[in-house]
Amino acid sequence: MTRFTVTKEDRKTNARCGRLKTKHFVVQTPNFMPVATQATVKTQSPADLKKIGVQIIICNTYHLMLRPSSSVINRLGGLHHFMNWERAILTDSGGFQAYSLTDLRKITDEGIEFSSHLDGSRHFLSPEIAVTVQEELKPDIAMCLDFFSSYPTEFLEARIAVERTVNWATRSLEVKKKSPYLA
Amino acid sequence: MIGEPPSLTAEMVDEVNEVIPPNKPRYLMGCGYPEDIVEAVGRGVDLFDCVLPTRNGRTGMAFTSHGKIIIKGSRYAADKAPLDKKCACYTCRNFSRAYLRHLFNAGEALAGRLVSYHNIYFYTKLMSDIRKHISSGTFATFSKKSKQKFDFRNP
Repeated sequence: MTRFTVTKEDRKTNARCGRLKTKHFVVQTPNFMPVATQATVKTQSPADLKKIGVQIIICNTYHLMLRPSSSVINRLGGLHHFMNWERAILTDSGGFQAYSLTDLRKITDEGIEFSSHLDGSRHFLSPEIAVTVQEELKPDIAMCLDFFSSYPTEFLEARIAVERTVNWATRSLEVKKKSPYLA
Repeated sequence: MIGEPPSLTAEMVDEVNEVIPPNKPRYLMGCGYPEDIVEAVGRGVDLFDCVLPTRNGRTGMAFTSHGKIIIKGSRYAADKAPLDKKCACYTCRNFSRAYLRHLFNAGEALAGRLVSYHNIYFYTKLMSDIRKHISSGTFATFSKKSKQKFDFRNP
């Protein structure tokens, strides 16, 4: 279970230091996560990252659910075992790439239907599926699927995006409660 | 964050941080350049991620204490100095700019690897410096100096 504690608040600015205690590592904040899109920080080995002092990395749910698939990663013991990284991992929801990388998207209150940028195959990502997929990846921190408006945007469009995201967050929480790994 | 001007991002960070609980971690996805990170930390952000250190590393752009270096430039052809004299990373302790430039020009895989290593080290060190300055109460001064010094965003 992830716990966050603020350990120091700056007097002159809003900066603060904290400790983010995750299953695999206690991350000191503020901190920066190198991006491991395909379960690798491009060109760097986990030993390199550890030597640098990296405490947490981010992996991309969209890319990993399409290749090699979350079920394969799950059978290999989850992301930590799959890529041999002992410290913290955050996975995103997959939403951003499903919006930005794919064609033929269909977005409803239920979720996002999209074509894979790899082979055009049809996939569906809902708040519930985003939680289930991340549960298989076994990160330290999972993100819930969000919906965002484009920039610039109109007030009404932004409002719909926020309302849909709040609704999706509630649905994500319902699935997470029943998850033995994430709960 | 993505596609917005930095001033608008700052404004939105302030808006959001006023309404979200202070005891929860705040994550600004996709941020950013070193100057953007320092700015956002001062507005209460705890976590960041960005492809810049690795993506730019693979194309030969290094983040250094004296600004950015495009290592392929002919001015580095015989430069014995490391990427960053002030940096203690493996790349800077062991290789010259001339060698790194040669690796890029020869299309060698080690080129992107060594500069990415340096860039991740630069970002990791920046975050550790930020934490030290918050802990010792000197963040405001550090932030002001850093923002004057860092100019990575501009081409």
